[in-house]
Amino acid sequence: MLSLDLPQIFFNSIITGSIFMLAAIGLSLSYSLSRFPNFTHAEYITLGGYLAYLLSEQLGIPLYIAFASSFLGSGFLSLASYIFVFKPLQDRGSPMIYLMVASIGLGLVVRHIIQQVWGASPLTIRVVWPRWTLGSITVTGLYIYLIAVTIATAITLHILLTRTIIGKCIRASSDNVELAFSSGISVSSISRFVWFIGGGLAGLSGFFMVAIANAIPLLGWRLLIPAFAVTILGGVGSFYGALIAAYVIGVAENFSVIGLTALNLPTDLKMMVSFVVIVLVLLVKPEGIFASIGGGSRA
Amino acid sequence: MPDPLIFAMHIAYRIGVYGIAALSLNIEYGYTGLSNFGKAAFLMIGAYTAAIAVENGLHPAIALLLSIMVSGVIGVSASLFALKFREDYLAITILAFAEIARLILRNFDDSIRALIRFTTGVESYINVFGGVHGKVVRSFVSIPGDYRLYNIAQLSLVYSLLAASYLFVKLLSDSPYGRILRAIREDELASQTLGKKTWIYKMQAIGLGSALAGLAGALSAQFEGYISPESFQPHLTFAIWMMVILGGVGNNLGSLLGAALVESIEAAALFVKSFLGYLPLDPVNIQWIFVGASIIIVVAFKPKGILEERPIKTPAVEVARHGYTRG
Amino acid sequence: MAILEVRRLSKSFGGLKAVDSVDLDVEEETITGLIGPNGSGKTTLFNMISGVVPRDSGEIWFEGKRIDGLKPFEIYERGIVRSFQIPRLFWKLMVLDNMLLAVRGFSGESFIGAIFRRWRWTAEEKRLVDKALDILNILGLSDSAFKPAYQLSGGQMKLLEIGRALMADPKLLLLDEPTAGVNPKLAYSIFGKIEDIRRAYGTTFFIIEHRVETLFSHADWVYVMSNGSLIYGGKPSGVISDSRVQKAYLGDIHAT
Repeated sequence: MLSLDLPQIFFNSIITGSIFMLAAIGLSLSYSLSRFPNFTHAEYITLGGYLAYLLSEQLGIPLYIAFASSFLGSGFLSLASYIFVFKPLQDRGSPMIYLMVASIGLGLVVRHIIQQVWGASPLTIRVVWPRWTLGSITVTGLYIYLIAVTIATAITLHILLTRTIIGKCIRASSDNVELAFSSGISVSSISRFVWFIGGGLAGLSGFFMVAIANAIPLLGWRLLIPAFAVTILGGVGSFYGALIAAYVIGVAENFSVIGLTALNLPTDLKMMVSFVVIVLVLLVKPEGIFASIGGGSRA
Repeated sequence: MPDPLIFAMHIAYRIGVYGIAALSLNIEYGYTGLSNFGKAAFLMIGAYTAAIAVENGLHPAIALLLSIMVSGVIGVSASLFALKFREDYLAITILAFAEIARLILRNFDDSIRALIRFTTGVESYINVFGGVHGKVVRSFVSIPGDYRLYNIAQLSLVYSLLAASYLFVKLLSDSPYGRILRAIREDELASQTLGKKTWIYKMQAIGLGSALAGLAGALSAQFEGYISPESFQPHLTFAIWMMVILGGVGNNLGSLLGAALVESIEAAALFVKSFLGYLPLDPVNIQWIFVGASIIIVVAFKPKGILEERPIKTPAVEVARHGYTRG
Repeated sequence: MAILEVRRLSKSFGGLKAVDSVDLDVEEETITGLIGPNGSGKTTLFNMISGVVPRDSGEIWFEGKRIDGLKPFEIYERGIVRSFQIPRLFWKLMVLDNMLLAVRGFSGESFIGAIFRRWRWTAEEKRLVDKALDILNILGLSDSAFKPAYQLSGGQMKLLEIGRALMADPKLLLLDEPTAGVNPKLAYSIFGKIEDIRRAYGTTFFIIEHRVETLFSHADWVYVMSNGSLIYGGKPSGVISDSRVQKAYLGDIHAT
C-alpha cells in the first residue's frame, strides 16, 4: 500500500533539514552565549521572509539582492535586539526566565509591526524557477539555490570556528563564559558578532520559506519549535551538533509526513516529531545527543 | 453603536476570568517557581470540557467541576516528566506541549474520521472538538429577554468563583504548605535536605494551577459563547504572565491587579475598534505592540511588579510578631 | 556505640581523588571534630554522608543501617541534619520562616492539612514558633526574627544555619564550619550551646572546623584529613604531637 519514493523523501529531507539548519544555528549559539532561549528569534526568520517579499514583489528588485537584504535586515534586527534590549537587561541582572519573557514580548512587538505593515493574509513571491527532473525527483532552481547556500554557510562557519581567532573565541565563550571573560575575551563583542550572524542566517531561512511557500506573520513561530528541537538535540551552542540534528529532524519529519499521508491524517501533525524529540532528549541526555562532536557545547 | 454598559460588563467579566487564570500562574511561578509557559493549553482544556459537557446535557455545575478536574489531571500527568527539567527547558517543553495540544485538538476530528475511513472504509460524522471551525458553547446562565440582567448574573457567577479561588489560594499560601512552596522556589536542594518531598509539592502546585486554569477556561467559554483552537495561542499564556509579573510576583492581590491592568489594555483596543469605526491602524496590532513593549519595560524597571510579595502570615507567626513588638 | 560508621569511602572528580578510602566511626552522643587543610576532602565527605553527592565506592552506616545511596530527604528522615559551609538559606523568607521550615513531619505541610486542619496545625505551629524564638534568642538573632534572611550579616547567617539544624531535633548533626566568620567570644558560646544540646537531647555532633583551639576544648574525638585520606583519628590532645598531622599542616596554620 505504501509506495516509498525514497529518493524524493531523501531530497525533501535535505530541503527541510537545510531550512532548519539556517533557522536554528543562530538560536543555538545565542542561547549558549547569552544563556537564555530567545523567542524573538522567530521574528528574525519572519522579517527575512517579508523583506524578501518587499524587495522582490513590491519593489521588483532581483531576487539575489532581496536575498542579501533578508540576511542584513534580520541580522541588524537581531543585533539591535541584543544591544538595546537583552544586553541591558542582562546588565541589570535579569534572571533567565525574565529574559525569555522579554524576548516573547519583543517578538510580539516585531510580529505585530510586520502584521500592521503587510497584513495577516498570506503573501507569495511570484518568481518562476527553472525545473529539472532527476529520475523521480522534481528539482527547481530554488532548491539548488538553498542547498548551495546551506553548504556555503556550513563551510564558512566551519572555517570561521576552527581557523579564525573569532571562531576560537566563540567556541571558548560557548564552553565557559566566565573563563573566556577572564581570559580577556570581550564576550560582548563576540556576542554582537554571533547575534548578527545568527539573526542573518535566520533571515535567510525566512527568505527560503517565503520563496518556497508563502509569507504569514506566524512564519517564524512555525519554525521555532523545530528550531528548538534542533538546538536541544544538537546541544545548545554546538554548531556541528545543530548541523547534524537539523537533518536528523528533517528526515524524521518527512518520514512522519509519509506515515500521516498514508493514514490520511492531516500533515500538520508532523510538528509532534519536534516535540517528541525535545522531550526525549531532555529526559535522556539534556546536553544534547550530538553535543560531544566538534566544539562548544555547554548547556 | 454598542451599549457602553454592556461593554463595561463584558470587560469586567473578562477581568474576573483572567483574575482566576493569573492566580493559577501565581501559585505555579510566583510561589513555587515553576515556569509554566503553557497556561493557554489548560484554559483550552477547561473550555472544551465545559463545552462538550453542556452539549451533552450535563448540568453547568457538573460541567464546571469536570473542567476543573480534567484540567487538573492533565496538568499533573503532563508535568510528571518535566518536573526534573531546568527552568528554561521546562518552559520550552511546556510551551511546545501547549502548541501540540492545540494542534491535536484542531486536527482531532479529521484524524479520527480519516482513521475510521482508512480501516473500515466507513464515512463517519465524528465531531467532538469542531476542528478549525470551533464550537458554539451554551452559556451556563439563562435569563432570556433581559440582556442586562443576564450580564449581571454572569458577573455574579464569575466574581463569586473568583472570590472563592482567591480565598482558597490565600489559605494555602498563608500556611506551612505555602511556606514550603516558597522554599522550593528559593532553593529546591536545600528544601530536600530539610526533608521536603519537593516533587510532590511541585506536582500539586501544577495540578492546582491547571485546575484553576480549567475553571477560568470554562467560565470564559460559556460567556463568550464560542471557542476555537485559535483562541488559545501562546500570546494568551504570555498575557497571563504579564499579569502576574506586572501585578507583583508572589502576591495574590497583585495577580488580580495585573489581570485588571492587562485586560484594560485589551479593553482600550476593543473600545477603539467598536466605538471609533475605521482607523488606519488595526487596534489589535497596537494592543499587542503595547503589551510586548510594556513587558520589556516592566522586566527592566520593576521586575518584582507593583505589589510586593508579602511574608507568610500564619496565625502563630502573627501572634508572635505582635506579641513580640509589644514585649 | 558508633552511630555513624564510614567504611572505605571514596570519591573522585575527574582525575582528582577527593576522598580516598576513608574509614571512620562517630560515637553516639559525642562531639567529634574533622579538621584538615583546605581541599582535603572534608566537605565532600559530608556531602556523601548527607546524600547530596553520590559516592564512588564504600559504605556508610547509620544506627546500624546502610544509608549510602539514599536521597537527601531520606537521610534527613533518618535523623541526620547537615548545615552548609556557605549557608543555604531561603533568602527572601523571614528568619523565623527559615527556622520553621526545618521541622520534620508537620501536619500543616500537607495539602489537605493546610486547608482543612487549620486548628490542629496552628497549635502545633505556635509551639514551634516558641521553640524557634528560644533558639534564636540564644544565638543572638532575636531582633532579626521577622526580617528576610538576606538582611543578615555573614556571621548571623552562619548562626541561623545552625539554628535551623537544631530545630529538627536531629540524632546526628553535621556542622560544616559553624563558626567561620564569627567573633571568638560568640564562637566559644556556640560551642557551649552545642554541649548544652548534647547534654539535653543526646545529639551527636560531627563538626568540620578551622578554629582548632575552640574545637579541641570541646571535642571528645578528632579526625584529621589530608589530600583525601584520613591521617589521624584520636583524642584532641594527641593531634598536635602527631607527626603526620604536623607534616600536613606545615606552612598551613589555620587559627582564624
